[in-house]
Amino acid sequence: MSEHERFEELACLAALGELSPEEHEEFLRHEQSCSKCREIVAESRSVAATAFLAGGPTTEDATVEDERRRRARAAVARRLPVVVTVPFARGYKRLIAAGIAAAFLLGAGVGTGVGLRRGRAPDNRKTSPTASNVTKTQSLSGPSLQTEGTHLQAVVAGLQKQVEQMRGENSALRKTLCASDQHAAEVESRLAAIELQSSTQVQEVALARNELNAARDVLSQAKASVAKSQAAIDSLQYKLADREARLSEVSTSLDREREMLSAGREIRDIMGARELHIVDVVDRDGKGRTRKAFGRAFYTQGKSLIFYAFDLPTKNTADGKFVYAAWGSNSNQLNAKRPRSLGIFYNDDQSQHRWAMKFEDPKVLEEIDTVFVTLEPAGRTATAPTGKPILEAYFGTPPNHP
Amino acid sequence: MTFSSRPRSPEQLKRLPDESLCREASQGNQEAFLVLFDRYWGQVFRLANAVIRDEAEAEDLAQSLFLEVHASMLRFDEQRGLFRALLFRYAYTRAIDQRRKLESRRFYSSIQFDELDPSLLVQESKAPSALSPEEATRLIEQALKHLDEKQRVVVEAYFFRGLSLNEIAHEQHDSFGNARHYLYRGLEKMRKVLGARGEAEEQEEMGLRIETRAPRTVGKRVAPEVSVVRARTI
Repeated sequence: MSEHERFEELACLAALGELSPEEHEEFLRHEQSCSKCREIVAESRSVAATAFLAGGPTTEDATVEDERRRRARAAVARRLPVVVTVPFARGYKRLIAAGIAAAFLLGAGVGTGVGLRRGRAPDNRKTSPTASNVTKTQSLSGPSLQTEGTHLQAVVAGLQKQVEQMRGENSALRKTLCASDQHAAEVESRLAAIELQSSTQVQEVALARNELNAARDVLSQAKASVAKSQAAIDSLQYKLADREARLSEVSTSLDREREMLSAGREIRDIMGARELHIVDVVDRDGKGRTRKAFGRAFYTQGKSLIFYAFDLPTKNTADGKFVYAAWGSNSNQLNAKRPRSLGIFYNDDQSQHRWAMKFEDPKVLEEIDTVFVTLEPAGRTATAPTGKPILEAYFGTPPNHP
Repeated sequence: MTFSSRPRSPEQLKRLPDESLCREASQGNQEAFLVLFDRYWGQVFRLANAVIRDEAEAEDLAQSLFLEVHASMLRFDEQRGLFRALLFRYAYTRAIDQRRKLESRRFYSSIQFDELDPSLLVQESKAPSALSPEEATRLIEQALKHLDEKQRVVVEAYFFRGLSLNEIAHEQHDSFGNARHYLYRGLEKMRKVLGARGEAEEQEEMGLRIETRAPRTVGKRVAPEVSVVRARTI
């Protein structure tokens, strides 16, 4: 694009007022010396006006249009200033003409009056009446006209003075107008600068909004990613819990198998042991009388004691405040010592209502020949039984399975 | 003391040409000015409304415009150009300025009626402001056929729907600069098409006149009407 083509574009856009202040300033400078651009502006304005009219709102109802015209006409008529103008030249001429006419009439009137008065008085002079009248008229009307002329000159001078004064005021008003124009131009310039600044700020805001939107997009993507990760974590945690449950099951099964293996070994030891006492335990009512068997004890002399108790009441042990304790004593009074604690029972099989206690201290087992069970408070190291004996087994007899 | 001639009756005033009415108005005859108002109010309002696309704003603008013209009457020199052409040029410029002000964005010229430069003023009959909307639509539709798609879309949005260039750029997902360039290209093409058409009509008209010796009729074509509006230097 050549330099002038750019000005032609500016000319076209100037007709629409679509130039920035800088472009307008630049175009004005160019336009002053370019008649072609001036023509383009004029033609573009003409085409634009036609296009605006073509795209303008459709014609309204004639009544509405007439009402609008009537309203606007009344408003304009109300605001029109009353202009009283007297073209100076015309007024001056009429004033002069009126002054001359007045002077003439005044002179004629005065002359006529004097003539009439003289006609009535005796005339001793030799002059003709006509000549006398003319002379008198001239002598009287001359000063009057002179006076009127002087008066009119004064009026003219006054009017000229007024004209000069008005010219002075006009000049002052023009200066004020120029100053106002300059001030208006400055204000417009500032306004244009503010508008430019505002436009820049609007662009910056738009840019910032774009950045904000981009950041929001990134954030939403990150949130989606986090949600996805969280779902994966939840899934893994669920799998982990499942594995842990299965591990726990396997561990429990393994422990049970170990216990069964251990129990099997013990059973094998007991079944294969020599000098084995298998004693049915009986209940004792506190008066030396026994009742039906409630347990069974396997005593391998000087080695181990396994005590199973059945159907022990759970009323006191359910809340954990009491436990069943096994004690060992010697029925021989010579060797009587305080009963030795052998341990507490644990619920071996709830379905069978079976309790068990195992003791493997050979030294203690050598000293005792009787085992009995009492109900003791839990959590306290008892050195002697405090409850009444519930079950009792005696091993003082020779082994019934030698 | 006034030295005015005997006032003319309203009927006599209505028969006077614009320039005589201007002379009467400049001598304080308000009725003469109101005859001018009645004569041109409708066209001035229609042009202002077409540019601004707001009836209330256009009405206010047209009222202000007539008052400003009246205030300039004392300085009106009929030798400078036809009153009607000057009036429409002033109306268009003020309407464009008002549109810019309403958009609060672009530069506006703040021209005064008596500051218009009539150096390029042409015949009053060529003034497009005197066209009816139907005639203007017919002319513009013919010109639009010569525009490519982008130019046509922007020109229609700007002139017919009253959108600003920013709004057009946003709607078209394009830059402000591109939208302005399409508007320029479109207007430029329309100017050339309508200018060529005007010249052809003028030649045709001249031919008819030679053949028939008939008096030249008032044409309704678009041609350069207005001159450069000299804005105040900022």
